[in-house]
Amino acid sequence: MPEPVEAPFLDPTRLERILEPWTSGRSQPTVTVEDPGGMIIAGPAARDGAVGSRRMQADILLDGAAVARIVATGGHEADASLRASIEALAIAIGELAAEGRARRSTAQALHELRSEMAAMTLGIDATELAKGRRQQRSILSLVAPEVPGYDLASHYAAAREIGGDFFELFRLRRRGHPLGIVIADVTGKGLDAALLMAFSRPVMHTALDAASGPAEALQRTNAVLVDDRRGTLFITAVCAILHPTDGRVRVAGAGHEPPLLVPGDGGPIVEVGGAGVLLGAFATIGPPEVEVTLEPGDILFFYTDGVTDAVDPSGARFGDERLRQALAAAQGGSAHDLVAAVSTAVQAFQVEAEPADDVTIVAVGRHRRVRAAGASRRS
Amino acid sequence: MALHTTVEHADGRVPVVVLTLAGELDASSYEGVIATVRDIYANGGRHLVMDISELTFIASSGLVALHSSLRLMRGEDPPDPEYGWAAMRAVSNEVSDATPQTNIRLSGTQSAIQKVLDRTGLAALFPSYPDRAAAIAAF
Repeated sequence: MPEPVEAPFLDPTRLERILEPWTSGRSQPTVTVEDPGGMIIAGPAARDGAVGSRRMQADILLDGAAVARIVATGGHEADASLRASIEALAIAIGELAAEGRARRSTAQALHELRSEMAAMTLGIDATELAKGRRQQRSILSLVAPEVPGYDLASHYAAAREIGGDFFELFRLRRRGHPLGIVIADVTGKGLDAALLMAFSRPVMHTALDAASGPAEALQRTNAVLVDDRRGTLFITAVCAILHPTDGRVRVAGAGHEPPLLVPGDGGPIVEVGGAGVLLGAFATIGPPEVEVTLEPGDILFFYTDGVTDAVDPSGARFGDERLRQALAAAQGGSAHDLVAAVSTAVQAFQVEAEPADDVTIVAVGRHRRVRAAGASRRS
Repeated sequence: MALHTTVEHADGRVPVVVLTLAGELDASSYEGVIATVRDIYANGGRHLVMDISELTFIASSGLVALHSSLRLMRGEDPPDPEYGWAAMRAVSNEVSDATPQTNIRLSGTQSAIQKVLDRTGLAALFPSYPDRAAAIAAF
């Protein structure tokens, strides 16, 4: 029998408070924190009602070693989104564990030493592991669906501290299976930003899947944020729905940088839609919604302020102008070309500095040659 | 890119605290601004002018500082998430409707900052005046 590992540095009372949005909700899955031996540290003890339902889990890592795990039972609907949310929670709690290390006991120090030795054996240093922990979030976001006739490209660079960007690309469950696009930035940083991101991500996903359009999705999300929490942080976001057959895309924003339409024919790069007010601050919002059509070769480019707010060693900001220049230089290329051009430009601008804020870019490009009409039918 | 803050006192119809923010308000400095405003309120300040005539940049985290300041000056200390989500819900609904009752005035807002406030809808919560004297006189 494996030696039981105490869950180090994790205060159950603190964990219960963190889990509260998941344990007190009406239709949410049961979320618990368990130690590696399967003992519940925090969350509802009984999961009897959830027998046979899906179970997903994410390890809470401390210097690369799993010290505990988050387990969600009874997940439904937006599974990918819930998974991302669980991952984000795991990362946030991992940060908590790292903070609590100062209070470590002898036994815990021993446990840590073991994991350090294991890491050395694998030739990985602790810095790399920490980096990996931060990057964990991005990997989930990068799994984009196949949309025949379109290229979907993205780039994500995590900030020094856990930040709050996320994006999702997913097929909506309705006629024609249009593509849902969400890009969002939780303002602020640290644990509270990470927790709000974990909380709001599945909310936005579900809202876009259920709403008649992107503006309504933002309104629904705002209502949940305003009703269910009274935090000090906000979310800025853009939601969009793309109909692959004819390239129509409806876009609505909430306090976020509007996406840019980069025409394939070399025409001027234009902002799509207005900004709208941010989410979580006002009881009611009426986000502007616009519709544009992506012609073959056109690309819709979404980004967070981590792009334009990137700083060079002299303190200058990357800004709108450099962004447009980078896009113009790559105009006519694919969505991947545009994303690569901008992310490279931002990285070169920052020189060696790690980004102070998350940098997130998503591009949706329509292929130049129109495929056969049936190509976009969902398999 | 650093942020410089100074706190002064002025007398209008009521005693006014003037907090000058010069430079850039971003993720590296927003928590310091919140701490400063918390101190101002704790020391009895009830009317605050934020002189942002030399504020050249505001990131989204800077908006958190502005909004948190608004709550602090209303006597609502924004809850630390460590105290749990219940504490957050217990705070009275701060979501502002059509009639913001605020005791923060902005002075000298530059166009780059105004653009962000307009874009995010927060402009509605922060009455803005061309200069410090006008902002103080507005209380």
